This record gives sequence, structure tokens and C-alpha cells, in this order.
Amino acid sequence: MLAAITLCCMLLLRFVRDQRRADVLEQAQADYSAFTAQLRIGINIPEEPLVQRSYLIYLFKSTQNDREFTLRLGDDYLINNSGIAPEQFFDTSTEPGKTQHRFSTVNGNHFLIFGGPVYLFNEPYDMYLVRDMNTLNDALRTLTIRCALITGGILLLFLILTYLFAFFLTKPIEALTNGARGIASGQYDTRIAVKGKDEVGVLAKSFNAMAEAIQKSIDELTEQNLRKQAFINDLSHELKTPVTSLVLNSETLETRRMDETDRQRAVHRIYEQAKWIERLSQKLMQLVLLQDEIKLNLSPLRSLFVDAEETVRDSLDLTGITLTIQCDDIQIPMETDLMRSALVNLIENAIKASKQGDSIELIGTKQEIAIRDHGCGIPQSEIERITEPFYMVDRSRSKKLGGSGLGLALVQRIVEVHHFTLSIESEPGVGSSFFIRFSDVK
Amino acid sequence: MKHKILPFLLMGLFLLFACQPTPDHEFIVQKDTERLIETVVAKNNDENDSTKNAVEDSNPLVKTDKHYTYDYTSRNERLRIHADADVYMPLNGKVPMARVKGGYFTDDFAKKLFDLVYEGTTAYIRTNETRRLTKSELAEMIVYYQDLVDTGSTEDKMMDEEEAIEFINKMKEEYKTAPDEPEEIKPIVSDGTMQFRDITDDAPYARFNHIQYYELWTAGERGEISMYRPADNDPSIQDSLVYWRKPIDDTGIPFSYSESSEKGLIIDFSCPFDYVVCHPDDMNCAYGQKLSPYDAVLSCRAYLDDLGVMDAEPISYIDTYVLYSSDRSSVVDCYYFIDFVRTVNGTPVAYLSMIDALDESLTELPWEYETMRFIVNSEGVSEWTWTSPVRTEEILSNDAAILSFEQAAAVFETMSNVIYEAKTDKFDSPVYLDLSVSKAVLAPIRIREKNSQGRTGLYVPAWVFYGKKTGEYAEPITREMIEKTPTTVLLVINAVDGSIIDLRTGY
Repeated sequence: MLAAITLCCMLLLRFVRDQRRADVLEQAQADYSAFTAQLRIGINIPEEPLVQRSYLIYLFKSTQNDREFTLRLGDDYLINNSGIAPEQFFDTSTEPGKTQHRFSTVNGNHFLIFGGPVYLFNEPYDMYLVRDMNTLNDALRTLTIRCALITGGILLLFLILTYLFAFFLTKPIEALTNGARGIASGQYDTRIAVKGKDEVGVLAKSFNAMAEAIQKSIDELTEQNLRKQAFINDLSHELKTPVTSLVLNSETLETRRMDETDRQRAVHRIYEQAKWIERLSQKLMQLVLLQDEIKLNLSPLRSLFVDAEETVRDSLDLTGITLTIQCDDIQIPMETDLMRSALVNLIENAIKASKQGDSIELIGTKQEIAIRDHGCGIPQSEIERITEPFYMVDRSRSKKLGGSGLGLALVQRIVEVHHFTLSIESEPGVGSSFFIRFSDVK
Repeated sequence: MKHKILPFLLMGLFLLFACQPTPDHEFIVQKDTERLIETVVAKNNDENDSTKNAVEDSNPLVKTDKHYTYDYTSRNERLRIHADADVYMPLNGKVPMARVKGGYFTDDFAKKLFDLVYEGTTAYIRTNETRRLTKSELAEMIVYYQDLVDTGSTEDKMMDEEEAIEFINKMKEEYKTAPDEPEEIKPIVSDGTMQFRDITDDAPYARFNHIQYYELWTAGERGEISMYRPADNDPSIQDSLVYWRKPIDDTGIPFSYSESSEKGLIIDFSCPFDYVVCHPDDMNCAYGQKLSPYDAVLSCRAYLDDLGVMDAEPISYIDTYVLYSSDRSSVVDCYYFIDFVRTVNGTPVAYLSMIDALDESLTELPWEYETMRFIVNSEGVSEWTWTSPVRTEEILSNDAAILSFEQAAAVFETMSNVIYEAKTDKFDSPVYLDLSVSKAVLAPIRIREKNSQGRTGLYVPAWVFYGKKTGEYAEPITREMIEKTPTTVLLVINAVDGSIIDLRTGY
């Protein structure tokens, strides 16, 4: 751009200069011709050289505009008011009548020198017009300076505007870049201030959405990792107790002399702990192996209830708790074994929470399965966590009752793979209600 | 990086090739005046005259034994040239060439003149201050102008009604603070120094609207001095000096202006008119009872000597004014008009009393020629005018003339025809011209630098042909006409190169 503008200015100045010079040259030609014509007007040519010279000088000086002319005969200047030697600029072999011209600089002053040989009084003289061009040159110089200043001004303005434009254009991109770097360095809460509705604004919005999604995913992954770690920690913790009991009791049996009662007691403990570990591992296996995609078949809900009741009959009889069933005649898409396992877990939890003589309701409608007990209830603050693996509200009580802390986690998982939802309502001292809500029921 | 550098490289290349200045040359030769000097110096160097550079105290013009005669009548019979002339040359036959510069009136010179004229008396400086009008004067004016307005006659004062009313209001305003009695303007005493002036002339015909100059203008009991010199060598302003002593007739104005016959001033032109240096033996004026011409010249010399002007010589006395008694029975006094010329190395320069402007429109000379004129009576110098003085800066040669009189005469005979014959056909009506050559003088004459606005130049030797140039429209010239014509310069020929010097242009 800079080069283009400079080139244009210089070409323009060159053109102006050449045009002005052409005008000056044309005027000089006219003046020279007029002057020469006037010089030739005269009376009889004097014979004597001195008089002839005097006459010629008088004619010269009497003619208008004589001050710009020089007149020379051989090496002798008759008249020279310019102080320069015009003949030095030209080819002296030029024929009379042919004129030459040249734009020259002498001692810093600019001149147009125009002329050539001319016959006066039958003698070959050299006559030149020496015209001062300093005014023209000064005007051109002024024009050049103005062009340079204007060009410089335009370029400066252009640079400023370009800089501002680039600044405002790249600023959001830079912000985006910084944002991307921030996210890459782990600052997932980085967001870009969205300004404008142009492409950059849309990009910023998209970036923010992406950052939001990444942050959410990272948070979920982090949470998952934490849960996994917690799961492993809890599993380790859960296994540690029974394994310790097994080792201790086994060691006791092996190393100590015990009476039969003590021995039986130790063996019983070993058995109980082994059974507990077996249950734990079974539930754990179920939980781990439960896949996201299961095959669902439409099955009557009533049949599910009946199967679940049969499974928990012994527990109900043992605890003296009543299970009442209410079920609509509906079919729901399910994996029957998994749903039975979920119902059994919920009923068993209700049994554990209830006292002798309490009742548990199992209700099935088009929208949901509800398991209600009138047991000890769950504090509101615990409800969110009770579906976490190994989480127990009252750990000591649950363990005493044979709980592993995985039941509700398994129910949650089964409900999820069925694309149902599990919700819990509970009030301590009043009882709890567990709801499995269906999304699609025929 | 390359993409960034490339445009700048291109721009640099463009600038480099496009902004090449025209190559400078040094083909210098000398201008006309310098070549003139070179010619003279070369000639001097060729001669083996040990006295050629001698400084001369006095080298007056003397009549030679040459006598020039020539007659010519043009083909159209309107131009007649007749020469019956004596030839004058400097005494030692040598004419110097010198560099000169305009200006003489320094502060020292002004003070000398001031002390010479006003010694023992008080002189006052000019002031443009005027006294304020009194209340009664203003009241009178107000009444007068109001009457003009009332009668619709404001045009008498070249005003319209509105302007007149405005003027009346202005006078009314002035009336409030006007004095009751005329106030005396206290004059400012002059100390003889030149004062700087910066004025604007708003007149439509003013040549220069804004001029700056130094002025010594004083008036006292003895007379009045007005001396001017330009500020910063402004060529538009001529140096000038006018001094006049209060005349005996108490008219209060310079004698040269006075033609009153009340006191018996009668102009008498019977004194001979001569261009040669006044010599005591030639002073045959019949009216010298009170004061002889010689004594008159001596008065002038004493004046110049007191002022340190040693390089001036009387060249002629032009007129004599005789003051008779009322019954013309006796001469009360006479006044001599004496012209002086400056000298260069003792040689008087050519006398130029008048530049003839026959049938040419009168134009101002770019650089006026120096004139010095005294008016002297029995009491001494009555008036003195000195205009456009020059200073000799450098003597370039003591013997610069090259052309002999014969060569000059040959040039005269051709060029007088060329120049004057053209004048006879210049206008629709025929013009008759008669040139009567009475004298040819070899003397220095001032030329100026061509193409120069400043006042610098040379004194170059020139053959000056004097005579009478009588011109008349539509009828031939008579003898009577010729006799009434004053003598003036007919033609000037440069004695170095034979070129014609045009006194109007100065070169």
C-alpha cells in the first residue's frame, strides 16, 4: 500500500513536472522566435566591425525581454546577463536555424536553455534564451512536499485505522486463545465475555458452551473418579472387617486350644463372615456386571410382585412384618430378574427399617412402583447419598442386620438401565417411600 | 518477514530512481559588467605604464585640439543631425573605472551638516502632530455641517448624509473634551540624528504603499534640512538632501521657488551657459558686483570641505538670478545656480543635467543619476540639493578608455541615425527632430548591474555627446526653436566596448 501510494505520487509529480516543462518550453520557443524576428528588423548593416557590434548590441538591448538572452560571436560574448555559458550544454555542430533545448542546473539554480546558431548581419552568432526555472522548481518542490505530507498523513491514518481494526478484530480471538489455553491448563471455569452477534460473538458463545460442557464432563469424571475411589476405599474397608474376623478366628482355631463351645463359636463366626462376604461379592458382581443396554420385555407387574413376595416371605415371617400388595393389571417393559432383584432389595430394606408388627405396602400403578414402610425413616440430609455404594445411614445397625451398603446402589443401577427413575420420600420416625417411576408404560 | 521488507525495498528503489536531481554544472562565464572590467584590466596589464595606477588629486576635463563636424539628413528629411563640437578629455588623457554603490548620507554626515547649519541655534524635528480644535472651532464646524445636512448639500464636502451625520457626531464627541483656547504644540528639539520612519501611503496613486526610511528633517531660525536615505537599501527610495537657508525676502520658502516681483526679483538668463569647469579666468559674468562666480564656487567648496566631501567639482553654473532694486538702478544681490559633479580619482564624471524624454512617456529611472546643485548669493550657500549620491567602492583601473574619439564618432554617426530616425516615425503624426552636437566629452559615467534591483554599478569611461535635441510635431525645426532648447545629452557611447549606454535603463 505504501509502495503503491508512493509510486502513484511520484508518477503524478513526474507528469506535472513534465507538463509544466513542456509549457515553459513552448513559451520559450515562441519568445525566442519573436525575439529573433525583431532582431532582424534594421537598417543597412554597418561595415565597420566596431560599429556593427555596437549596432547589434543596441538592437539586442532595445528588443523586449532581452535580459534573458545571450549573444555570442565565436568566443566573444556580446551580451550575457545570465552568467552561464549556454553553448557548453549543446552540440555546437548544429546548423543555423536549428534550435536545441535543455533543462539544467548551474550552481544550484535551475534554467531552461534554448537556442542555437543564428545569422545576424551575415555572421554566424550563437543566441540563447536562458530562462530562470527556479520558480517552477520551487513550485514543484512545494508540490512534492505537500504530496509527501499528504501521503504520509494518509499512511499514518491508514496505519492507525488498520491497527485499531486489527486490535479490535484480534482482541476477541486473543481472548479465545487465552481461554483455550486456560482450559488446556486446567482452568475449566474460564469463560469468554460474549460481545456482539457477529461470527466472533457466535464463536465466543460456542466456546463458552464447549467450556461449560468440558467443565461439566471434567466435574462428572472427577466425581466419578472420586466415587470410584470412594467405592474402592469403602470396599476395602468393608472387606477388611470380615477378612480380619476370618483371619483371627482361623488363627485362633489353628493356634489355640479351645473348648468345644468356643470352637463352635469361632467356626460360626467364620461361617457368618464368609456368608457375608459371599453376599457382598454377589451384589458387587451384579452391580459391576450390570450393563447399560439390557433387553426389555413386556411383563405383567402383578407377576413381578408375586415373585418378589415369595422371595422375601421367610424374612417377613421371621420379623412378623406384613406385606400388602396393590397392583394394577398392567405390563411394563423390564428385565424381570433385575426388577425382582430391585424389588427384593427395597422390600428387604423396608423390613430392616420396620419393627415387628409393622406393615409394608407394595403398590403398582401405570406410572410407578411404590414401596412404603413405616419404619425409622431416613433423615432428609441422607436421602441423596443412600444410593451410593457402601453408604449406610446407620452403619452399625445396618451391619447388625446384615447390610452391605450396596443394596440401594444396585437398585439405583437397575432403575437406570431400565431408564426409570428412583425417588425417595422419607421422614424420620414416620417411615419411607421408595418410588420407581416408569417413562413408558403400555 | 520477506513480505514486510519487500514493499519498503520497492519504495526505496522508486524514491532512489525518481528523485534524482538534475545534474549540476559549473559552466559559468562573466556577466556583461564583469567582462567589461576584465577587458579593461587585461588592457592595463598589457601596457607598461608605471603611472597607470597613480592616484590623481585633480584631473579636470580640458578642451583638446580636436573639433568634430558632421552633418546628416535622413531620407524622410525629418531628422537632421549637425555636429560642430569641441572635444574634451581629462587632462592626463586617462579615464578611470570604478565600482560604485548608491548611498552617502550616513549618520555622521547628517550630524556634520546639522552642526554646520545650526551651530549655536536650536533646530526642531518634524512632527505630524496637530493641535486639537477648540470648542468654538468645533461648534462652528458642527453648525456648518448640520446646515449642509439640513439643506441637503453634503455633496459639497464629498459626503453623503449618513457620513455627514457620523462626522457631526464625532465632532460632538470631541467637543466634550476640547480645549477652550488653542493649545500650543510643543516642538521637539532635534539632535541632528536621522530618525527611522515607517509609513503607509494610502493614496491610490502611491507608488509604494509601505515604505521605510531614515529622515533628518529639521527647521530652525537659519533654515531647513531634509535628508532621506532608504532603510535596508530599499531601491525604491532615493537618497536625497535638500538644505535651504531662510531667504532675505522672508517669504519662508526656498529661493528657487520664489518668482515674486515684489522684492524686485528678476530672472536674467543672460549669463553664458557652459558645461566646463568654472575657472577663475572664465568668470566674465556681468553681474558679479556683489559676488563673483568664482567666489560663489569657493563658497560651495568651503561648504563641501566642511562636510568632508572632497571629491566634487563645479562643472557649470546654470542660471544667475539677479536681485535688482525696485527701480532697477542697482543690483542688490545675485544668486548663482551652480552644479557640481563628483570625481573619480580626480576625474569629473559626466554631467547629466537632464535625461531627455522627448516623445517617450516619462518613466521613473530605476536608479536616478546623481545631481548636486548649489544656489549661492553674497551671504553664502542659500540652497543645496544633492540627490542619489554614490560612493566609490573600488578603483578598478585608472586608464580604462579604449576607444579613440574617431572610433566613437563612427559609432555616433551610425547609432544616432538608428536611434533618432526611429523616433521620427513613431507616431501617426510626423515628428521632426534636430540634433545639434556642441560638445563631445570623455568622462566616467555610471552604469548599473543588469538584472539587479539594488544600486550597485560601475563608473565606466564613455564618450558623451552633448547638444540640443529639438523636436517638433508636424513642422520642421526652426533656428529659433533650436536656440530655445536647453543643452542635454544626445548619445553616450561606452568607451571600452563601443556599446550605446541608455541613460534611461542605466546600462
